[in-house]
Amino acid sequence: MSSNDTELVALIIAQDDREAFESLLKKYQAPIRAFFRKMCGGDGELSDDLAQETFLKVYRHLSTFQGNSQLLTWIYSIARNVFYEHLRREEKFTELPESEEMSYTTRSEEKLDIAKCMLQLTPEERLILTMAYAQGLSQTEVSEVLEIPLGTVKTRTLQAKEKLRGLLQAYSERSL
Amino acid sequence: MMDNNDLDQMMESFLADEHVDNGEAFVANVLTTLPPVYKWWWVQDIVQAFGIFVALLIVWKLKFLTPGAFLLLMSVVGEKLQAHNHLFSHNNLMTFGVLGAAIVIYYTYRAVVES
Repeated sequence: MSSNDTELVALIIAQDDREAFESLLKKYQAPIRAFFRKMCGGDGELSDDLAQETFLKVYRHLSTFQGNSQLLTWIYSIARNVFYEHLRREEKFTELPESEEMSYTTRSEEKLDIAKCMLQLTPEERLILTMAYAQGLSQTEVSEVLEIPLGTVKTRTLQAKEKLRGLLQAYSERSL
Repeated sequence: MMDNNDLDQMMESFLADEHVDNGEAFVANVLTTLPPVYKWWWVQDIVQAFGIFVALLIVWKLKFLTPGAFLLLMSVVGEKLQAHNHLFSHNNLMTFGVLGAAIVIYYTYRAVVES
């Protein structure tokens, strides 16, 4: 954890310093919101709701953060739990929202294909691929976030990539 | 055929292409949902819980509720209020729990003495 983060966390825990929390929020909102966008098929409103829930949990449970890992890694592990809670609440989460489909279409057909195929992966596969390719997260950090051994992260990443590649190929053949 | 490198490139491009705004509105929104800074928040919590308890007690004493229904309603109200983020903290639940236990002990005691 950087010394700046350490100071901010100490201020929030000891004095309930809102400015310190705001600094943390500003620093980490972008990766967490982007993470949820990927996990939710690009649904901006839903992903911001989940990101908000994540940061509220961060605020409430910051005193339990022991500093053994990077703060962002710890926040990602809370985000993972929030995402799974959301899945349990919703139960079904396989359809790409129509509005988002249009949003991806305006970007490129290729991205739309990946977005659709990503949503056909299991939540855990989606999570592991998003984490593996997310900026700044090493496989060691992914194993910390997902609380699984490093070897398992590597195996599951390969399996998820294989599955995604198969889905993409099947999808592109169907589109031809 | 797509190989691993193609997939890696596509994935990196896909994941890197998630632009979120600067987050000003998001940050402001999160900050407004934080509990207020309040030094004596636990006093407020206990007073609030006691107020709800007394209100329920009055309803009970007006014979709208049996003691069992009263306790059940107390637990449901406590849980619902706590689910409302910061309206209700664990202190309220503790207060409810202590008051509820006091009622149970009182009525058990009275039943034993009267028998």
